Amino acid sequence: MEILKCAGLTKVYGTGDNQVTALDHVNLCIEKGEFVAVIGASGSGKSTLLHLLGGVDQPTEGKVFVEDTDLSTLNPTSAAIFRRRKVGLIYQFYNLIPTLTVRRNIIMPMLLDKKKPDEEYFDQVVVSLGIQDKLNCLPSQLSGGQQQRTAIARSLLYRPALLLADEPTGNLDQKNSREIIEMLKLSNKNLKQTIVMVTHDEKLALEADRIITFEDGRIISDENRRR
Amino acid sequence: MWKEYSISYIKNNKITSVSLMVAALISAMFLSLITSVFYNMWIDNINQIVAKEGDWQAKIIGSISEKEIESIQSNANVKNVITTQTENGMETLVYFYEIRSTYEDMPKIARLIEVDASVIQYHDMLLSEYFIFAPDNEHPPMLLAFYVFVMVAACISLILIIRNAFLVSMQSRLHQLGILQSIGAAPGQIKTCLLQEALGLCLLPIIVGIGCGAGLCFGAIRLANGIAGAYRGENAEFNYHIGLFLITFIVSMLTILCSAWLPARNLSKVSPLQAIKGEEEQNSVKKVKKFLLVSLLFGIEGELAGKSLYVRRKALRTATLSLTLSFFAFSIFLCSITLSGISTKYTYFERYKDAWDIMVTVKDQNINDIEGTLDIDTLNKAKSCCVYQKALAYTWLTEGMLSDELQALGSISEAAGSDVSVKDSKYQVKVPIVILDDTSFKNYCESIGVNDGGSEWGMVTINRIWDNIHSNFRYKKYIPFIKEQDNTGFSLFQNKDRNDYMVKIPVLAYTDELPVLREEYANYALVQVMSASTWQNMLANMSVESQETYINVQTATDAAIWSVQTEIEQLLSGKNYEIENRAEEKQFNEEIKKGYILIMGGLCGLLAIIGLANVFSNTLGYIYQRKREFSRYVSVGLSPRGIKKILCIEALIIGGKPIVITVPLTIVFVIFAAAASYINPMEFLESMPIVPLFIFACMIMGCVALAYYIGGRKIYRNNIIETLKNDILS
Repeated sequence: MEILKCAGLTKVYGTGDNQVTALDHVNLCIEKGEFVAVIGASGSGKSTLLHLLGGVDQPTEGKVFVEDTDLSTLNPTSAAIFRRRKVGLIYQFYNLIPTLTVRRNIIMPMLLDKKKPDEEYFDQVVVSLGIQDKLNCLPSQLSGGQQQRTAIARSLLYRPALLLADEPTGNLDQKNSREIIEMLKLSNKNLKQTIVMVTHDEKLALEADRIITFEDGRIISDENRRR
Repeated sequence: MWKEYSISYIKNNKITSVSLMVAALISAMFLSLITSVFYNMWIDNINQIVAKEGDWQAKIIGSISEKEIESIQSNANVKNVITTQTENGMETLVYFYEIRSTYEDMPKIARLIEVDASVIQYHDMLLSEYFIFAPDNEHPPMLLAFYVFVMVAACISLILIIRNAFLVSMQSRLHQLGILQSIGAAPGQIKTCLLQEALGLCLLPIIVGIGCGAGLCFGAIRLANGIAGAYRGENAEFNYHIGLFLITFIVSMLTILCSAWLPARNLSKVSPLQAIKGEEEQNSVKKVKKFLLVSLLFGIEGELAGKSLYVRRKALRTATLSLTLSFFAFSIFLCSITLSGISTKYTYFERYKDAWDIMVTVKDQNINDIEGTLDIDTLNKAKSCCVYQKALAYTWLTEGMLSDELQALGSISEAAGSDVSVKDSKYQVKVPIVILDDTSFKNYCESIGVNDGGSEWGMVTINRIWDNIHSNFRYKKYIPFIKEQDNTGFSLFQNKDRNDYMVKIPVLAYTDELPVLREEYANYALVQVMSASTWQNMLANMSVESQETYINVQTATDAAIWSVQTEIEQLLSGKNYEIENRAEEKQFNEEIKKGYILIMGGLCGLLAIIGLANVFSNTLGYIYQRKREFSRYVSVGLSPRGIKKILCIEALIIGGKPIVITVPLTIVFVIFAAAASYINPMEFLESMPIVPLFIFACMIMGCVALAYYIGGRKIYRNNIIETLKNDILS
């Protein structure tokens, strides 16, 4: 079942001589439950793709559909609600709210919706990520690995259609990187979570079911590794 | 390269640069204003003391010889010695070069000329103005200490504004400076650059600010002269000393240099990578308070707003303190003025409204000297003119003489305390005597229903005493003092301890109505009213309270007050007298009240401006960090409406905090003050200063809202996605 579809997706930054085409008519489909790695050199357009898929940026041309929702038609408020409910975002620098405890950080998308989390699912997520003892801590009291787990927990709690991870291990040591990837794989396998992960690390990309390679804003290879 | 970098930074960050310049200008202006005002108050105090008592530092009472004067002059510190003849005898005034050693040198001089130390008098008042206190005076004057405290506190808060403005600016540059560090800029180079930049930005605003402050002080003195000069008799002069300029300039510059240097030093402790990533900011949050109420009221947005303010509480401290203090001081001041107005209304203006229009106190004159010169017939537009004197005597009352009502209350001495003493089961009671001119006495007798008052010698007894058990001093109830008896009188005496000279005066009538005069009588006294003829014929050997005669005049209309006053002044020309009129007094009272409100309003306004300047520098200076903060929220799904909501809640908390803190404290103060002064709280509620307080609160809220609107628009309009990408997703 198709969960994400990009058609003629183009993003141009700047004007005149300074114009840069970050994405150039990209067409892409992702099936529900896929674990996709997006790789490419710096400036190849992989991060721009992630911003467009996450609804944090608008394409210059083309469309993005997530579960049949055309992201280009969303106004800022609808885009915010979409990000809150349909997309889980994981960043290289965790992007946690420093003033909120780990628990409040995790449930924040739900709080923005004035909803209460499903406590059973919440426990399941934090236990599986190994941060159940850190729920009352502030982000500053956690290690990098723990902060990234918190970010993953936050992105999973709403059971989003799509989990977008931008260099999720870029700021972590090898051991923590390994663990984070295992957790992403676990959520992909157990929760049937669709994941799109941007990475520089080709070794990490090999953990994914599908590897899409970008160059100069275009897809130059799309390798399905599902066995 | 650094010069270019600084110029480009200033050009590209105009708001930050302008807010720094404004902070420097405002702070220097108020520092200059405060120091100039205090300096001028100080100089004016000294001038007044010198005008009244002279500029000597110490004096020797009694005559001393030429030789002794030479000995005094031989002291190296003595500048001048002047001998004068006063009404108290000879006095030798001593002036010193170094006035700080007055208290050490004068005893030496006394020993030198062999006079007792008790004949030395120090000009304590003048010396204390120079902060020179007698060695045995352990407590310097409280008022002076208060002035110094207010001045220092105001200066510190102004210094904090400059510091905060720089802190804000430096924090917002952390990222940029981190990049510079990462490409090899040495911490020393960064520090020098920042210091140069700070000096370049703030030098001119400081000089202009100092000039504006002095100008404002000049204006304030002119305003004060306009209000109080007419009553004080002389105008205060504007004085300025180059020292004031130097102090303000040096303090401002040092503050700016320290403010620029400290963040630069802190920056050098952070690794370039941390600075670029902003990890310093994230890691700095070690603990956060719970904000249950705002969370409950406004949801997660309330929690985020409360916690964000908590994290920035140090930067906002000046704002919180200044705004709270200003609103609190203004509200307490207005409530005090209202309470005092109610009190004055009852004790003075309202109480004596119909009793007098013009009051003349003629010195060294007896009632008979004035009678005839000034009476109702000689004044054209007067409704009544009562000439009177006062005397104080005592009488003995036995328990049986007291009224039934008073006896029912219990012992009289228990209620009256030391006002009534008991000897041999008899009460020694004060008898204030009001001696009216014969015509006024006759009129008074008629008014109380005694028609032949003028024909017999005797007195009218004001038969009433305050029932202090069933009423308080503000709303007094009276009961009869003594039993009314026919053909009786009182034996009066003036010497409390020796009642060998007593005169028995017959009572013409008993009444509880006092003559219409602007007079206050002792609480537990038996007031007597008599004619000047009775006094002269029966009590001529007794003495009046002071050799003063009073003239209480009521005019036909309020408009006639001034013309009647002119008439009186003409009739009394050549006599030593003081004249007051109700209209002038009320006007003076109003002017003084206005003056107080103006001064206090100005001070509170100053505090509020300090606080609001801090709010502006915070909202406009932290744009970069706030964009990052909001990017985080947006990335997890905060809607644009949510951003607005957070900003509104923050503005509400900053602007509302002073009000929330002040309102209960003011209520407690009013309840306490009203109870202490026996004022009915309902009466206070009717005249509560709600409008000015509401306007003040609205101004605070409005300015905070404006600061947030301007700052918020920048955050809101800015492409948050760009910030998110550049700083977080990069």
